Amino acid sequence: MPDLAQFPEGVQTPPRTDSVRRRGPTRLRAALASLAYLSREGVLGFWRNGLMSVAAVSTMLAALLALGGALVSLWNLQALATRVEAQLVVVASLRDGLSPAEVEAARAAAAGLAGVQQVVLIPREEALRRLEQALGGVQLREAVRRNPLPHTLEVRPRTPQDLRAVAQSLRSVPGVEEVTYGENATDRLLALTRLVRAAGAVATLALAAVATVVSTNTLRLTVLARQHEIEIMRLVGATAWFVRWPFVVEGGLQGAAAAACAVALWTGFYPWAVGKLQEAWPFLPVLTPGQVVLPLGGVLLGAGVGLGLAGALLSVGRFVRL
Amino acid sequence: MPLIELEGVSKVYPGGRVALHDVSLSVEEGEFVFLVGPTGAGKSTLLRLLYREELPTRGRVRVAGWEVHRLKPRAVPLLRRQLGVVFQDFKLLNDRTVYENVAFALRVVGTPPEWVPGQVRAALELVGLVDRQDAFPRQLSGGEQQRVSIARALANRPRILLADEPTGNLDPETSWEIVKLLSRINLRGTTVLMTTHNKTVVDILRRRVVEVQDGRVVRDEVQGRYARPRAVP
Repeated sequence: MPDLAQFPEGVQTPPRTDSVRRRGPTRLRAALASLAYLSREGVLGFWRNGLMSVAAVSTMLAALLALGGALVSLWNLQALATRVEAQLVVVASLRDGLSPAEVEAARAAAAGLAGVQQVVLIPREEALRRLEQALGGVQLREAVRRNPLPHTLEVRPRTPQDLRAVAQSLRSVPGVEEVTYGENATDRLLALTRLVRAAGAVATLALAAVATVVSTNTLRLTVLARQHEIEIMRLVGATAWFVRWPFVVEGGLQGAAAAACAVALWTGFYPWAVGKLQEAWPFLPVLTPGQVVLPLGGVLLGAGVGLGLAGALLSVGRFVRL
Repeated sequence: MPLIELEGVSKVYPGGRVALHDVSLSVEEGEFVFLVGPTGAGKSTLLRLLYREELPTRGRVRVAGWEVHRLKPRAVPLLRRQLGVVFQDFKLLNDRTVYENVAFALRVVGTPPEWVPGQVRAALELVGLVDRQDAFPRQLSGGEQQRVSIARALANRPRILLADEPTGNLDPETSWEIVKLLSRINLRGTTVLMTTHNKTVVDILRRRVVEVQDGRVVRDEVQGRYARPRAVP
């Protein structure tokens, strides 16, 4: 060994770094340099810990795929519920023998009620024609001498919840004889759509929670695998954020990678699945790929990155309490 | 003011094991101190109190002007930048080269990037490992690995070097090399505290010896030996 009594000559001492708070441009420059270094460390860590990264990414991928499934189902069920609800109308039969002016007055009065979105007058002739059609093209005209059907108003409420109130107030409109909205069936249908929405939301939330727990645990493993490194960083005087940041960057990257895979898989799968479904049940109303893929991609990407960041913060936190 | 000062320090671990009992010790800047005593006597605990890996149960710990016993967590990194710590098991990052291991310590404390290469080189020159800077730890001998860890500890130019059994894993000849290196570092002005079981080294160097037994300081000699001199019959 050479004689080591002195630090070699001509080597200057760098500016001391024993103050965390620096001021002005120096501080900013140092912060930027550190941030660049830390981010690079995070990216390097992603590659260096190959197997761990694969484990973390695939766990999060599984979680995100499930979350995607839940979302796609939820959205479709909601669309279905909305469509069913939109078909709910209140039918008001008008008294027999009203003059055209009285019919028009009733229509206008109905349209002016609170909670009413649209009122369509179905003249009795039209009603008969529809009935004939519904019965398979029977010529009722020949069977009955006189059209027994009344003029009716089809009243569409603004929201399905307004249905009952609209029906109630329609009863007091002059010229209205009878109001029906399929009370029991409609109430049950509305309860069902409410249930579908709530269940879908709960299932999605539960899946999101599971995804968070699973991802955090996997990321905790990657942190555990590098406890040694963390210990050394702390030993030489790294601040808590300096220790955390590379893991946070790494977690974010893992989340983004998992999300990219999940988005790619769903983008391929959903149109295929919709095609198959419509082949089997053409009448089934499903959201088109165009309606689903973009928002799903956005949500999954956000969820993936969020999962990675939150998971990394949560799992590194307990090791960095100095 | 002493650089390191312990006043009436006790450390009781959860569960009731008493590691240190009413220890007082003061070390001036520039001293070289051997901490000796049987395994489990409390030597390592004493070092851990100095770099605040542990907090004392009772008493005061002052290091380089810091009141370590009541240091806020966010100030701990600042304290540690004044200290270099070296261990029996080197604690090197095995997936990084010698150069990267030393540079790591500099980057971690926010050294401006343009300063890093020069400082790493200076530290590696000090321990005589410039020509191995691209090697990975597993390609080095035990003595070389310990020199890398010393270079890392010194990269930030700390005022104090704490060495916990730095020769514990090394053969006698290599141990001697490491101790000579620490001694030279001490000559540069760095205060060195070293725990050891190496009788030969302590007896040849004749520096200050503090003996710890059952958590108490039982001996403190300026030019001491490893063992208390026996009464000549």
